[in-house]
Amino acid sequence: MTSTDFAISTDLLTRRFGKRIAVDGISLAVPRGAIYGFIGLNGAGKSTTIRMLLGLLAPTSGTVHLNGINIAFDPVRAKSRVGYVPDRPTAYPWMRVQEVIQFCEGALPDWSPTLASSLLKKYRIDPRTKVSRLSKGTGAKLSLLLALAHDPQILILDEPTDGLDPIARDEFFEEVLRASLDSPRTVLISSHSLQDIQRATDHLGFLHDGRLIFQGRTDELLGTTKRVRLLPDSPIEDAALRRLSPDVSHIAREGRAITVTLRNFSPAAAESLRSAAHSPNLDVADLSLDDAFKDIVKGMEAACS
Amino acid sequence: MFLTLLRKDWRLAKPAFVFMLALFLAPTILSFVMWAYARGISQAGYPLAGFFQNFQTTVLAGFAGSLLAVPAVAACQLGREKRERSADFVGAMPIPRYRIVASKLTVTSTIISIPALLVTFGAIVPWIALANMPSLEWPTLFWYLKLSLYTLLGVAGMGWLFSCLLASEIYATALSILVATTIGIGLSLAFNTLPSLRAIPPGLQESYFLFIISRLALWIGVISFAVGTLIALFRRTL
Amino acid sequence: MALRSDSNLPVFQQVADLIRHAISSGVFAPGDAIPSVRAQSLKLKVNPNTIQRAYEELEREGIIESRRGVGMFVAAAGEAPARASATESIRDAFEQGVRISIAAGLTRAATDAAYSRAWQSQRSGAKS
Repeated sequence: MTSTDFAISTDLLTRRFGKRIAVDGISLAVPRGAIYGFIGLNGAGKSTTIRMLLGLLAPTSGTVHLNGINIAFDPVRAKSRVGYVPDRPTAYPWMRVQEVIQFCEGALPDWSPTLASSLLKKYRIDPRTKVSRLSKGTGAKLSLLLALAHDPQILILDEPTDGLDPIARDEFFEEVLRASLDSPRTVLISSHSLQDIQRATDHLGFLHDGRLIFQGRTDELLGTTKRVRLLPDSPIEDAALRRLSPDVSHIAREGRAITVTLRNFSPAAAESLRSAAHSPNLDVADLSLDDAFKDIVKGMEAACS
Repeated sequence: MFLTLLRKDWRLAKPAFVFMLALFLAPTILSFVMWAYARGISQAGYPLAGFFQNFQTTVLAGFAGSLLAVPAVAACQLGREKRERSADFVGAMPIPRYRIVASKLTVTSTIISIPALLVTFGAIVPWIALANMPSLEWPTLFWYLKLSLYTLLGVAGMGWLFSCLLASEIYATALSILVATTIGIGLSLAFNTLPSLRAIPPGLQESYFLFIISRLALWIGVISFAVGTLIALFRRTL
Repeated sequence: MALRSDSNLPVFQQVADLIRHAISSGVFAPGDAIPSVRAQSLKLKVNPNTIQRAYEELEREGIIESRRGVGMFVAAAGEAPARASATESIRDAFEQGVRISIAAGLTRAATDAAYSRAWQSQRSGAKS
């Protein structure tokens, strides 16, 4: 596939800050129409990646394509149908809501005043309020309004519900979902927790320490990552288990039992673990997305140390 | 599109502009009030010429004061957008970078030309109005004007450049003032301590000092504006 | 019953169960319209593709049927398979309970007694 098949694609995107590598060669592939959950712990490099997607930060190396257009070559066209919702409002804090909307109307050729005013009513935002005086929930909704009112094909949200109360969070997700249902849009939404967004997504990318450690369909992750429980007759080292397969992720021990989280699960792989550990029996269990994410992250850390 | 940007950039600089204007006008207004008060209590009557006699001095003093706020006017354009994170707001929009920068440059140059025009006007008007008793001779006046305008350009340029490099207009303004005063004090220290410079006769010393200052300010201003603009144009972030 | 994000059942299965239970408990009678994919997606905050997948499974089981251009309806004979598959999903829950019981070393009689007590307390709770 080429970059034009994806709404958002990056090729070995890398960003260094001095000696620190914040984003390390990630190749995102967000299919058109997907709701893509971009998951990583705090400091994993999500915001840095998103800033590069929008051309707010130049990559050290690698490329970004939005709708097949290289953002470094033609930033205006690449960003023309993109809406961005930052983690907290970035609109001019000293402007009133109405003034921000007027500014966007003047600055964006695709801006729809009718859509803006209908969203304003729907989100119950008072246009006379100063942006700096908006509550967190309303501020997030204003950011969403400003991102949606020029009818973008791509919507990029950077931890939009961070610090919102559960009700505001629910309302916000409902509006994002509605926006993606209303017209064919691609949504990329970053979060440090899967709890919030896993049900709404159909694609996931896990970012850890600047690296993309999983990317694929949500249901694919569930179907291929499983926990295998062993009761070995003789002790076996973690390292020995890891040598068996690169798919061995997290290893948890409790008493004599060992629970191995296995990626790209197959019965044969589980059987090879069983025989290596001299375990008389073998227990395979599914795990939730949240646990899969945590196990994969912990497995990465254990494998690296 | 460009008008929208201009309007926004003007509002961005408005607080700094108001502050600058207040500093500029304060000495002149104060002097007028004092003149009016003196006229009120005096029997002999004070002609308006009495006020105009001090006019050049107060205008120049006001101008010197307003120089404190000039770097802030320039620094607001890039620095305030960064500090308030609105740089990300416009940055994520499909607006060509050159338009964003051109609007900021237009607003900044328009605003800093206001004290330049005012000081020129303030210095020349009384000279014409009171042709027989100007407080400064024409060539000296002209020389002072040139110095004023170059200094204005110099501090504004520093504000512009530093706000490209630093994350906030406050740091950029502070650094501009710091650099400007360091240059001024450093140079006057040099004239007072370096034997080769002290050997110059006192009258000439002052002209040398002012000449160096004005040339330095001119070049700092031109280079800072050029470098800052290039950075703003070619760097992805504001 | 609600969707659980810590569940290891796929979300589409949970959504399908939700509808099965609603039908077998009479929330939706045969011939009733069930919420559209869009409405269901917004209500449950679940990806529309996931809802679509759940509906496809229910349609395959003959529990619901789509009427072209109108929407999804509970099939005339949809109640029985709904109840059957609801029973199936409930058996899963019981199996888990029985596993816990065996792991804790309880007898069959003790397990049955615990089940009866649970049934009584839930029924009386539901009636009051």
